[in-house]
Amino acid sequence: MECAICLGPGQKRELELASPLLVAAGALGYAPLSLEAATRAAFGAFITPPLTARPLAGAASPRLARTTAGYVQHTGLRNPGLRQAIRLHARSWQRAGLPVVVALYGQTSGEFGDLAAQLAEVDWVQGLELHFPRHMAADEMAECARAASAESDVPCLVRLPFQGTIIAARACAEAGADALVVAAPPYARAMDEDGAWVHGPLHSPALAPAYAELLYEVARQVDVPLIGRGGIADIGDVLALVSAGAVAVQVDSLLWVQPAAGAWLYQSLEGEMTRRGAADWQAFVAHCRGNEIGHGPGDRTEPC
Amino acid sequence: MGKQHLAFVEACAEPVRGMRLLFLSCAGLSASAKPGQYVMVRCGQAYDPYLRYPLPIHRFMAGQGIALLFRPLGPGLSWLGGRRVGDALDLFGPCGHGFDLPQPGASLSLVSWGLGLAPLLGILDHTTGAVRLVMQVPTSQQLYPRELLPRQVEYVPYVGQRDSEGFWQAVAESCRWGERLYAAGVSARDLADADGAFRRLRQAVGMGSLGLRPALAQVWVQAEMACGQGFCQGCLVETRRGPRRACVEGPVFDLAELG
Repeated sequence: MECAICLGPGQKRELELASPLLVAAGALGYAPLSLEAATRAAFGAFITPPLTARPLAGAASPRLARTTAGYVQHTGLRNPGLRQAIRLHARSWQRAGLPVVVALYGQTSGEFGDLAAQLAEVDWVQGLELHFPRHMAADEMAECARAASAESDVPCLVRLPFQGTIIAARACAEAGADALVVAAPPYARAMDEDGAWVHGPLHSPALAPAYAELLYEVARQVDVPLIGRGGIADIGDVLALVSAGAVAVQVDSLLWVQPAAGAWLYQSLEGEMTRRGAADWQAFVAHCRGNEIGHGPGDRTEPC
Repeated sequence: MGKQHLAFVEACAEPVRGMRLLFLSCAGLSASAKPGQYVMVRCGQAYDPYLRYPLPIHRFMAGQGIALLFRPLGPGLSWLGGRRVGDALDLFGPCGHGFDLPQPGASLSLVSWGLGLAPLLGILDHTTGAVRLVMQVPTSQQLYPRELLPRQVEYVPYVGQRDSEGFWQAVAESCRWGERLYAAGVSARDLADADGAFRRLRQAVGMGSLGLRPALAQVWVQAEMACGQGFCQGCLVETRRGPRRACVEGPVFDLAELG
C-alpha cells in the first residue's frame, strides 16, 4: 500500500506512518513483538500503554464485566511509571520495527510538561499521545497539550474524551495538537458474574457508529489530522472512520479477539483501494470523503 | 506464546450434572500445551460475546487434541455447550504458566473443591506415578465419574460443605502422603478471605510434609481475563512479590507465593 501519512510536519521530528493502521494504546500492552512479524508489518505505529510519572498499582478487583457485545474494564492504569517502563521495555519496542508513540497520562499541565521533557532526548520516540482524566475541562486539556508540545520535538497526539468531544477538539487544536484521536471510550457501569459493579471504559463493536459520528462532527470543527478509534471490528468500521474524516485508525481490543486482525484489515484496505482505483492512501482518503461527506460548506475534503 | 488454532468437536458429553465436556481435535495444541495451561475460546461467530473465554485444558489426547470441561452458564459458555460433533471452534493458546511436574513416578496429590476440577486432570495425562484425587462437591450429582479416571488414581470424593472438617482432614492426609500437591478451585478473590478455603489449604499444606516450599505445592487461580496475553493488566493476583498477571505469570502459582 502506498501510504505516507506525515503527522507533525514542521516539527523537528515528524511521525511518518507507512500504514494507516495503528496499534492503539494498551492493545498489545508493552509487547509489540507478541504479534507475528507478518501482522506487525500491517501497522504504521505502536502506541504504548498510558504511562505516568510515578508507578500505579492498578485498580482493585473486580476489574472486568462482560456485556452484550462488549466489556467494561477498569484496570486503574497500572503501569511502572515512565522511567521504569523505558528501562524495561525500550529494547523490545525498538526491535518491533515500528515507530513508537509513547502514551502519557497526567493530571496537570506541569506533569505533562515534565513527562514530555523526560522523552525529549530519547531518539526512538516518534510521537506522544496524551490521555486525560475523565473529568478534565477542555481548557485544561489544551494547557496540557501546550505544555507537552513545548517540551517535545515530536508530534503530539491528543486523545479526546467521549463526552465534550467537540469543545475539547477545538481547544486542543488551537493549542497546537498535531493530531486528535477520536476518542477515548465512554464510561459505563456493568455487573460482573458475581454481581459486583465494574465502572470503567466500555469497549464494544456496537459503539463503532457512535465513534464515526463523533469523528464526523469533529472533522467539521477543526483543521487538524484526525485519527479514528473505537469499536473497529471489520473493514466497514475502518472505512466509516476514514469517510468521516480520519487519516488513520487505531485498532484496539480486536487484536485480542482476532490476533491476525491487523493483516486482514490491511489486505482489505488494499483491496478497497484497488477497487476504487486509488493510487495511494491520500487519493483513497480523498475518494472516501468525496463520496461520503464532501457536500456541504465547511467540509474539509482535502486529504491531510 | 499462544497461537490461533482451528479445532473440531470430536465428542461431547455431560459427565457431571451441569457440566459440559468437549473433546476437540487439535494436534498442535495437544503437542504444545502442558497441564495447567488454558485456551482462549471464541464463543460465537460474530461479536456477541465479544471477548474470548479462558478455559483450562482439562485432558490431553496424545498427538490428537484436548478436552475442555466447563459449566455452560452465561451467553458465551452456553453457546459453547451447544456445540455438536463436527463443529469448528476458534481457540487461542496455549496460554499461561502451567503446573511444574516432577519426574515420572512421583506421587501426586490433587485437591479440588466446587467446580475447580477442570485444570487438574490434565496432570493425569503426563504422569505415571501414584495419584490421589481429593475432591469436594456439594451434592453427589456433581461428583466426577470414577470411570473417567485412570486406574492409578486413588479417588477420594467428598460430598458436603467446603468448610467441613471431613474434607479438610482428607486434604491434610493427602498432603502428608504425596510428594507434590496441585490444587484448583481458588479464585483471585478467595485469596484475601481469612476464613476461606484458600487459607485452609495453606494451613493443611504448611502442616504436611511438603511444607510451603516453592514448586512442591501449586495452585491454579481462577481470575477474570480479557486478553489472555498479558496486555490489559486486568487479571492481577496479589502475591508476596506484588501483583502478578494471572494470564501469563499464572494461572498456576506456587502456594508459598500466595496469601
